[in-house]
Amino acid sequence: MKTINKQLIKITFFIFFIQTITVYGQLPKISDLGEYIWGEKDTYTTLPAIPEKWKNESAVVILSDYDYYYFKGGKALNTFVITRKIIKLNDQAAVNLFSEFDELGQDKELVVKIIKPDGSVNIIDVDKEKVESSELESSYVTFGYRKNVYKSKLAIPDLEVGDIIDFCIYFKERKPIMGVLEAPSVIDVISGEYPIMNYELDVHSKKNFFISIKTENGAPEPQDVSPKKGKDRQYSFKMQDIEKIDPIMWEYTLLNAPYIKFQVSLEKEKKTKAFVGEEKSKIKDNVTKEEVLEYFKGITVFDHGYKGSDKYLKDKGLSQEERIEEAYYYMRQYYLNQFIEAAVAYKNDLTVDNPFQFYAFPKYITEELKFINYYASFLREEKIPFEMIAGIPRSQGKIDNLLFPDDITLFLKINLDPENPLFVSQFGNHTNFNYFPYYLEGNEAYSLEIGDGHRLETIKKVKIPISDYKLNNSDQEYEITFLDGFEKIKVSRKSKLKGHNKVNEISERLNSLNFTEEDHEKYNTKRLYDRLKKRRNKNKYEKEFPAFKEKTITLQKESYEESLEEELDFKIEDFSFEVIETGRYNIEDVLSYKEEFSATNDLLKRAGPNYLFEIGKFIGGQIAIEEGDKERKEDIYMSYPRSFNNTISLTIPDGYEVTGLDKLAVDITNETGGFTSNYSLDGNKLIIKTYKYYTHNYEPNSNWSKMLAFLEAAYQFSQQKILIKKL
Amino acid sequence: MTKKYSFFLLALFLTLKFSAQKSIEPTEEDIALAKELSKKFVEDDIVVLEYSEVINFDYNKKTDKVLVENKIKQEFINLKSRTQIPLIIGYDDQSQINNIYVKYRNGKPTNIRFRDEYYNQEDLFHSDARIKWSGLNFPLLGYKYTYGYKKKYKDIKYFINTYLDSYFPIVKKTITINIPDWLELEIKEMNMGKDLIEKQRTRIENKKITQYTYTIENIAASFKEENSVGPTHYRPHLLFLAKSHSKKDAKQALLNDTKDLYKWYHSLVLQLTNDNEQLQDKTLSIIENFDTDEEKIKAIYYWVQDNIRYIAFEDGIAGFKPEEAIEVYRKKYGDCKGMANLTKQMLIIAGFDARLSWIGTRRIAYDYSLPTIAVDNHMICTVFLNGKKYFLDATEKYNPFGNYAERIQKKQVLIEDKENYILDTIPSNTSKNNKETLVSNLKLEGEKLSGTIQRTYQGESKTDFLYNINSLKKDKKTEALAYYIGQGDKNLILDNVTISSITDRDQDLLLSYNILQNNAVSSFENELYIDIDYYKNYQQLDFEKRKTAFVLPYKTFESTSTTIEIPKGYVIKELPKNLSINNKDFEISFIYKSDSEKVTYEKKIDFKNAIISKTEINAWQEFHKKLKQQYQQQIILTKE
Repeated sequence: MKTINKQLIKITFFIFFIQTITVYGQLPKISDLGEYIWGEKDTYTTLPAIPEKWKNESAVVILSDYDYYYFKGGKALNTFVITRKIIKLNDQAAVNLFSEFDELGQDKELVVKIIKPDGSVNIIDVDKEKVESSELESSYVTFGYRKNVYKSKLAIPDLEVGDIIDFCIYFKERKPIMGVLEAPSVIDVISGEYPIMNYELDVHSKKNFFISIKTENGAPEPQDVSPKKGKDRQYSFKMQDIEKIDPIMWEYTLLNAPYIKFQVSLEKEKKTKAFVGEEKSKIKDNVTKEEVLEYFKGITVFDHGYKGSDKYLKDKGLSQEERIEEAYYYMRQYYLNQFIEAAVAYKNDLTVDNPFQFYAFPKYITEELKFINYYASFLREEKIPFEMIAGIPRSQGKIDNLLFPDDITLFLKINLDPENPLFVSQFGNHTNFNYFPYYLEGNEAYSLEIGDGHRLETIKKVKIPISDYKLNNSDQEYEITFLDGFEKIKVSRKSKLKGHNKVNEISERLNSLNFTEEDHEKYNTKRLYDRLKKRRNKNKYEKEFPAFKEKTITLQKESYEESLEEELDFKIEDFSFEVIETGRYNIEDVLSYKEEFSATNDLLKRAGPNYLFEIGKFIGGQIAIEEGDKERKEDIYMSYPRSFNNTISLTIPDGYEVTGLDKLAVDITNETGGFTSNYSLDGNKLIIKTYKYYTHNYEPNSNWSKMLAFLEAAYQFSQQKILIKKL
Repeated sequence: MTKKYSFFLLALFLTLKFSAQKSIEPTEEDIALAKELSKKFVEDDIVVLEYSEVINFDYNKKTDKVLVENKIKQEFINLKSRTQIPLIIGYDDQSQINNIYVKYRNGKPTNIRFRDEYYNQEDLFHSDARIKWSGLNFPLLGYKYTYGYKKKYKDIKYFINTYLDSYFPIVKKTITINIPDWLELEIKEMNMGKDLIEKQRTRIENKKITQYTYTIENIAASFKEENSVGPTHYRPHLLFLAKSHSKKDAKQALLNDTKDLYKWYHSLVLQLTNDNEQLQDKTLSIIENFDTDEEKIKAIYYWVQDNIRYIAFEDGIAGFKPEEAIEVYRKKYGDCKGMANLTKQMLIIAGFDARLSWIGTRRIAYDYSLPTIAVDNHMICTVFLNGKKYFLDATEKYNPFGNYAERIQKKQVLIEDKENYILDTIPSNTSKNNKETLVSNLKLEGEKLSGTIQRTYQGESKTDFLYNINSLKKDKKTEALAYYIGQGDKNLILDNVTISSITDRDQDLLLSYNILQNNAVSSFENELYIDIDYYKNYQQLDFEKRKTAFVLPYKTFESTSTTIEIPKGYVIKELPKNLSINNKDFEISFIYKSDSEKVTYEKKIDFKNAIISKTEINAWQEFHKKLKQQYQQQIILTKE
């Protein structure tokens, strides 16, 4: 044993040594960073004048410069980044923001100089001025020791309003992961919270590396500035005069702001998770559909011989459509949910032994590709025609802009009835069959199909359908009663959610532990408890699991109460919550739950013997568009088409009547959506119904005024009061 | 070979764990006890059954310091189904932590690993405070652990106090202090509810020790509330005053009285070289355009406020010793001591008699009658001019000369006087000095209110405003001001917002604007209902669960006057009733007046002492109910 250990140490030492040399051999030395940045080649020794138009900005970026370096270290690709910024600080807020730097250490080196308004230059002695701020335990064990990594922070001395700060951060020691042949993809959005006079980004690669680059929304094209001799390859991007951007609602930054994206890869091999160009000497700036096909051919296996659900589906007398749906839910249980108990037990130490050892060969699926491979194999065996759809989120741009495989989301389109295709995407604990994520809706995507064999053979461009706003619906019914002579308001609310509204909320509303029993029963899988053979595990688990469950349910209830307060924008008390229908087994089924609470009389205003009641608040907080935002210039990108029904039933106390109801009838609808409301009196009940909907997930800016019309109507409704008048 | 070996190891490990399992689970008695305790401590998850502290003293010849060792042991029990708690032990350069252990019910060690790192606090740039920390999981009701460690102090000066309560409620706590005959130590009992405590003095002759034992039962968990006074004001604790020791031949003073404390502080000040040559030119340029002494002092004071960033450092001895003025000037940042010293040195260059001054802010309950380093936490500069003292706290940005921040008012200040010291008290202002007014002249336009608003700010309300607005981004100031006025309410549309200078701290601040407020009036049949109070100040200040005094940033005096023109064809049907209250801490009034043309609403809110004392919590809670109702009241106009 001892001999083996010694050998291991030697080998470790050897690798460590070699890597250190390779890595630092090619990089500017630490002590030279200042010289490297501010040396003879520095083109910013004389600084340009700040444009007059930006004199009222908090700060102006004179230079924003990024240098990405790529090296081969061992068999993997290493990345190092050097960033330099020169910033004119025009106010105290900017001084405060740039006056401190933290997390400095072995892997993050900093040099700073300050240029005073009179032109004098002060180079900060970072080593002298910094103070130790933290020590983190390194994740690396060297020679059996876990070394602490010390971090420092620095307060910049003599930094005042009107100064220019010129700093450079050198992110050094990003450890390469063995066997990874591509560097992480980079997306750099050029514009930021301050205007920029000069932007420069350089990619320092090697002539024998592959590189893909794409620029969007007016970002500059790459210039090849590689030295003629030697192995180095350098691409440069330069841009001037860039206005700042302020984030606004319903906008995707990558659709408007200029940005550069790139990725460097070492080799063109199957293992590379990148779209790699044909030639090392050429920039790859687009990904053809053929390449997408090739890429997925390499990583999909629709020949898994999947038999998992056969036994479960056997003799059930199901139609083909029912079979594939049931198979989805069975797989959700078999490959994911049956392990929930074990995952919970493992994380929270509810068993003596590792709970996963009680599953013969625990196979769980948490990766999209693995799910696609399994489910597609099943479809192929069932001889059901399907397509694999590869799309990118709308927030990331169009499929034609595709450059990185990481941006792709996969799902399957099942063409049992080509007129009414069905969809499946990777399962989660409560997901449904015939569903794919909202963020792909409306974008173009690639559809890939297999031929006679199990390999993908064809690819074509398709448009991903957009869901109907009526199907993405939340329906809420309120029952409101006044208690204790208007001291308190008792409220009961029933919510029913469908479509994306359901999917987006289901994980929050359901506690997985409440469904494990039901699922085990339904799919004939074994409970963790039944798998525990030894008394010690059984004993511990049967005691500690119920305690754990009780605790999570209590915490969950507290969080529901908080989120309801946030939603309604007023304080609530005596809260109770109950799930009525889970909607877990069919996309058409609703998720419904009931909440009961009382609100104090903050919503009631006394007016002599009468009361003003802010009934409009019960449709929830409405979007209030600020005056300035009414002049919006950008198109409107929303998550998905959606609709909201509200029914408010108010019991009018004896001896009172309600007036001011005419304001409760609103009808503003147009092609972008609408807000309508009406009321009726039924005995001692006032019943108000409202309906708000957004027809599309996108509106051109020309439709903004139409949207404003119904958004404003909904907001005004939320401000409405009725008079509860003493008879 | 290797495989077999690992299997054996694994088997051994499992057996050990298995044998331990049963004897660490809660017994029937533990469960019953937990259930019983949860009736008493309804809101708590964990209770400390027994908490003991044993404090011993020793002497280090080499350093000539008295050492302190505090041995702490706690037994926890879980009152809920499952609970996880953090275990955190604080220490610093002057102390160390040894022998930490966490044991199961059966006494077997849990082998929980403690991490050790800097304790990073948001408002402190750098400090020597460190923590050893870990997490503890109680998987079942009635689960128990015993937890303990030793904390050693290298110098008794830094051993200040021990609190009787803790983060969790305690069933029984004992503190044993073994004072050797060679040590003179005074124990002060602070914020003690006498009925709860049993105190015992025992003489242990053979060890030449006098033993003091404090026993206290059923102590509620300590509570931290927002905007509260500091813990020394309300948490029960023992304060230790180490007076002298006689380990050497003669009696050696430690901190026997304030003179000793000053002597130590002064010795640190004497270590400064005060080589201020490089400050000369700058100082002279700051005052060159001013003639009177007062103007010159003011110029230096404002220059330090404006040009030195406050960055807090608390690092060992540097937590007590000011930094050289020239260093603070060079860096343009410093902590309170550094800023005070720079102010002092610049004033000396300008020819004034300026001195460093130690002070405890209102967060600290102690005064200089107690010789302990815990008595102060702040440093300012005192300048003597024509027989008067002016106190300059340059950390208070935008504070006008001659004004004192609430946090130091009425506090004792220890002023340098060579080998001696001067003890004085910072003068106090009244709330009127901080007056904030809002005058609205409004009229109805359908269901909207429109008109002009004028606001003024004085004293600390102005300082506060200036500080906040000046720390915002230049290009966002207009937006932020609109948000400050409208509180994000889109019903309020602003126009013609003007503000007086946001850099002049010597003048009142004026803010004016026009408003158009939608949904401010509700019309039903022939009646108009007007909600006249826009801000409804202090409506959210609900003290339902409050246990400690509520501290306001300064003595607040808000005066609001709103006039609304009555539209033609309408008469007043109903005005809300007047409301007023006046007690020790607050005076508030709502007064409504009317004639045929207008309604006037006058509101005055005066927090006279910048605090709602614990004794006035109930009074506020009672008043708060009325306040909420008042804000619901509407002015009703009806058609003639």
